[in-house]
Amino acid sequence: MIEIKLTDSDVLAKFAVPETRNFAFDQLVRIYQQKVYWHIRKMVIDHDDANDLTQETFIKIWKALDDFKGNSQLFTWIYRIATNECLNHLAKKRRRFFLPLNDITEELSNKIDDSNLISGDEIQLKFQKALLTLPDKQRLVFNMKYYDELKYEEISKITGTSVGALKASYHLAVKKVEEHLKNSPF
Amino acid sequence: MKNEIIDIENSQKENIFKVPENYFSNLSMQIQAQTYGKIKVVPLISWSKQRTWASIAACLIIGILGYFTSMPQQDSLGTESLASIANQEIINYLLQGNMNQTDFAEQISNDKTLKFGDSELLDNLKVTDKDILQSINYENIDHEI
Repeated sequence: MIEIKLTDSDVLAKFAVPETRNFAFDQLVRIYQQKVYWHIRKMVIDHDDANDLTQETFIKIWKALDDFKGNSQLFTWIYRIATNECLNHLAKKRRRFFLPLNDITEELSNKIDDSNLISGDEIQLKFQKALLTLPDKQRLVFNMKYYDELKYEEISKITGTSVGALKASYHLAVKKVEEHLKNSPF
Repeated sequence: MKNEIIDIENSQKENIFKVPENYFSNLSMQIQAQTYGKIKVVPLISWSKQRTWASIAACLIIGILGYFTSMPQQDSLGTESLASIANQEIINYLLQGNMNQTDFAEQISNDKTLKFGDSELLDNLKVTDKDILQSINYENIDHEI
């Protein structure tokens, strides 16, 4: 079976036509589902939470794609929706349980230890736990720069933060994580 | 580890997170089920603001009409009110009322101290044209004429 890969403009054009709308959306999901999922998963750690938030992200995309004006790249717009879903989820978690920052960190850290869908050597597990000590937005910037290898300009469009602030935030995050790893017992 | 310099940016990046088997194959179907695959529930009657206001107006009109239709007339006691009173009592009441008016009229004409104008006297008598007609003895009229 030959897989057809559409460009963003193809997807948008076909989505605008009722007869090809469903097909276009299906293609959009296939193109972006992994990027969206992993972006979310790295933030929320738990697979079930990431699954729910990924689906919520695409439902919102389905509802709002008609209003997408093309002021940014489709990818940037989608990432922004996924980012907001993550941050809102984590903020809601804190509010619901009235947990201070450390407890959320501990909860997510325990998921790294307990989940059968997370495995890696000891250093990698420690590294992920060190990332959890960062504030959510800073962790988000770190993930997008370090794992997704996005340019600062792209991250700036996604987060609405200036490039300068992002550079400072990322370098600070790197220093914190390195310090944390240095001081943690192995 | 404490003395070792850790260089994150140049170290190998690994993804420790895993997904269930065939997760991404099934994900698109799950998303489809919640988007364009969702069965739309179309209501039989579509409601709108205009319909709501029209319904309220119709109810008010019916209520007002119903009120005025069922409300008893001011000058009528209503048949239920009179049903409980015996006919003889009604007759006696009417007769008594008439006598009082007649006596009052005689009193007024005999008592010089009472100062009523003719028009005032007639107004206070509360005698209707119907009363006058009823009191006329039709048998005598022909003879008098």
